Amino acid sequence: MSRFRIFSVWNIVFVMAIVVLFLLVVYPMGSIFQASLLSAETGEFTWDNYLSVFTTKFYRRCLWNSFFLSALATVFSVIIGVPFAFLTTRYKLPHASLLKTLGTLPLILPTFIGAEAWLLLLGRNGILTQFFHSIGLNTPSIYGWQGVVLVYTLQFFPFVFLMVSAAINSVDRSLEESARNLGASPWRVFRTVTLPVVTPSIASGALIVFCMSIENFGVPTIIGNDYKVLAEQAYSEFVSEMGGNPSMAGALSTVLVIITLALTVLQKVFVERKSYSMSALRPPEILPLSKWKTRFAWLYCAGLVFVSLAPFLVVLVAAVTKTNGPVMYYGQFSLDNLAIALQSAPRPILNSFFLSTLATIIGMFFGMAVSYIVVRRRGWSGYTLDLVMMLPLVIAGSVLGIALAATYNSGPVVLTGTWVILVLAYFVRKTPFSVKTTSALLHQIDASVEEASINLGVPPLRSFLKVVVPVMLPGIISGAIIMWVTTLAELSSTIVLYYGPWSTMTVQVFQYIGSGDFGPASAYGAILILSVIIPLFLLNKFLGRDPMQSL
Amino acid sequence: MVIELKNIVKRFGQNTVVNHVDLTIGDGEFFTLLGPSGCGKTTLLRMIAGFNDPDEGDILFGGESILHLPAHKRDTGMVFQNYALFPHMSVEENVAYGLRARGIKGKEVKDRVREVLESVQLADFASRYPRQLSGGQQQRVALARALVIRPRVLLCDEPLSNLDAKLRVSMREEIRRIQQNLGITTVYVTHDQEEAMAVSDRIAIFYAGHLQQVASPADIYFTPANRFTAEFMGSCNILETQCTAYDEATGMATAVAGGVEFRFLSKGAVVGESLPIMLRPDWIEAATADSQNVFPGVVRERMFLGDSVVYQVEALGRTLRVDMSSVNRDRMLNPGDAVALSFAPESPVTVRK
Repeated sequence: MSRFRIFSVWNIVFVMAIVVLFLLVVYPMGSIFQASLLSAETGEFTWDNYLSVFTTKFYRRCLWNSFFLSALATVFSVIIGVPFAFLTTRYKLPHASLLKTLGTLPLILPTFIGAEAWLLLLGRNGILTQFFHSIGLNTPSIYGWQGVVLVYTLQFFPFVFLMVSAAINSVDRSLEESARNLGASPWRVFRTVTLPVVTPSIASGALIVFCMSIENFGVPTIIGNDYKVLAEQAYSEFVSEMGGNPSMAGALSTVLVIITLALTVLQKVFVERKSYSMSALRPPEILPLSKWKTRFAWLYCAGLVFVSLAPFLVVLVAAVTKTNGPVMYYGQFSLDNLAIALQSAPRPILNSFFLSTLATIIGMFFGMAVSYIVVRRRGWSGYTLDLVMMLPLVIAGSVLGIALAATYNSGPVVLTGTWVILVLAYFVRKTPFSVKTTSALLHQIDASVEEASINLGVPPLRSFLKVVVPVMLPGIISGAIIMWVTTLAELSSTIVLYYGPWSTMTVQVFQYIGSGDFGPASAYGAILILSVIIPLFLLNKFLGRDPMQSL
Repeated sequence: MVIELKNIVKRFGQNTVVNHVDLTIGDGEFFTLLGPSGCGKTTLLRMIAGFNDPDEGDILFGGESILHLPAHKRDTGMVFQNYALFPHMSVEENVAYGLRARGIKGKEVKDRVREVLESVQLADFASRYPRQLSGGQQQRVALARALVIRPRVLLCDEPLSNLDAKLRVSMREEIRRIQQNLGITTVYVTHDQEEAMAVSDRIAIFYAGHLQQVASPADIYFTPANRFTAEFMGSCNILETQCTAYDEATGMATAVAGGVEFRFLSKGAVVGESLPIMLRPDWIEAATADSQNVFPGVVRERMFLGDSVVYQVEALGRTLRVDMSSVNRDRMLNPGDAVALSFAPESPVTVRK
């Protein structure tokens, strides 16, 4: 009775949230799954589409390529991310906090711009390629799987770094101290206490890297050349309307989702059970290193940050450089490219800002309500909502785009070919971030704080607004900014869902790279990079928060 | 404000956490719900506050059912275990919160906040934020915030459990003093039996969703209704005896335990039945010449607590806890000492359940 009364407002919100998520995630995914079970020619039930994923040489190749790229990127991310986390978190390094902030930056920067940047450096007309060529050296080719793995590794290693660094800080100092007290040497302490406690977080970080890699669409398309992957092929099958095969697109999409879903479930079952996070009272001591070790460690960390961020600087430079197709005249300043972007074709820029802002506003309120229900409502209802809300995280952008486009293509509500479907796709793909940052804070507010407000005579909904929302506010703002910047940078679902006048900056960059026009591509890319970095910088400066830390 | 709980039942899934509870709490009474964790006492308190509703039964304030009122209209002042102060508001704003919710404005808010903060000795801390206060100060803000609205009843959910031992003692005295000054009906939840005895007019002992005994602290201590109550309220020795004779006129039973014959008051004893009797550790004394119920024992352990000494004595085939005053240092016993113990025939309480 009272649960009914106290939550009557929240019951309505809960039902609304479930309906929205059903229409935007569950139902569309169900329809492409259904499509994948039908023959493209006869419309009858068949397993053939799945069979051909595993038997047709080309599709099998795509599947293997996806695995191979993602596995390599994961291994490399762990290899470079774990030392970075330990060095910046446990040891006294000059400007450690700056290194940490810069170290998280790559994961918010658009990956396809990273790919473009490496083309500018090591592509056929790349600045480094030409430099080495002029001194008689040949650089290894950036095209193909090497380039893709390089870009993934440099952009996704921060996930490993963030997870591990959080785990290090959540282990109370007394744990290592008691190991020392029991007679273990420092190395033994590290091997038997510190590392095992941190291992689950390495696995969690690795899982994110793997999922981000396997669902990525832009990077393999831009520098993979003939190295085709699943996410790319599902899109090709879907868009090539003439020879295209919607059933095949459905089957490829389903396989992709099953891979990420299965890994996530495995992680939940085996890793999270082993997670030892304690509410650390005293985080581990930050240890000084000897002079040479400090230099070496600093060089490693700063070098890694430099290598992962410098390519983006090249894009900024390229944006104001005279170009002719793929040929860049470095040193010759020119505003032509920016003029194209800002004057001749400003519409994509405005589109990007409009769509992102709208999706963010909707997602902010939706995320606030959902995280409240998820944190406060134990039992099946909160659990279900959490599960459905987080589902888009394991669905590749291109797959969700295909699902939405196919579902709302006909029937009572036709959204395909409108800007609304872009907003809905962004909203559903990015709101999980808002839910995460908000619930992280909400977990820290005991339910009794709200009950105290109700007890003092303020009705439930107003109590929520007066007491809970102000405390959640930093999380809401961080979440909104992450949503906004990642939506601006969203390529994979946009490329499936946009139509003519609703092209975005990301689509522009992608298409200009495709046609070899690196000048305009860099101009849009530069605007995109700045639009992403400036809000993060402001947030860091004024709220003193690094929003990526709370993910 | 008289609070009546009538036949309250509360289930969470398969668990019945409150099982047919009937209680009447008098106007101005300091009433404590005491029991181990998970016994249902907090659930009962939350039902009075309106955060949970009973599955069966009724709750009445001053003769009127309040079940139809949502939590924010019940006009109860609640002090939470973790204080539940609003972290983004100063002390002053925290205390004024309930007043503003009642539409009170301007000078009256200011005056009442100042007045209540003075009564908890926090007038100088009005502009501080909760994180800048010590645990004891936060606790007093929580109390002030609950009292300033002049609620019909004050509800306290283990308000002192997060404080250190010394502060707990001084705070419970303060709560009792304030409660007496205001004469406000108070329902207080705790698992600390000493705290319950110190502050309460009456105590309800709760276990597994059932009321075990409702009585004044002294009544519960001296005449516990059953074994659980006896063991929960203070320490005790339970001695299993076998009744061999019973004198209807005096109510005196004769019973045997460990080969020794005892005579003690146990109304309604039946010859042949086993009579479990409860003896508080300080009801057992060193025997003197005119003592009754004398039995031998050997001291096994001694624990010196300052004002008293706790001995573990092997006697009657078991180990008994015996507390003695430490007034005479020379008379302290040592482990290994043989000792003759006794208890008065009026002391033991028969605890059949």
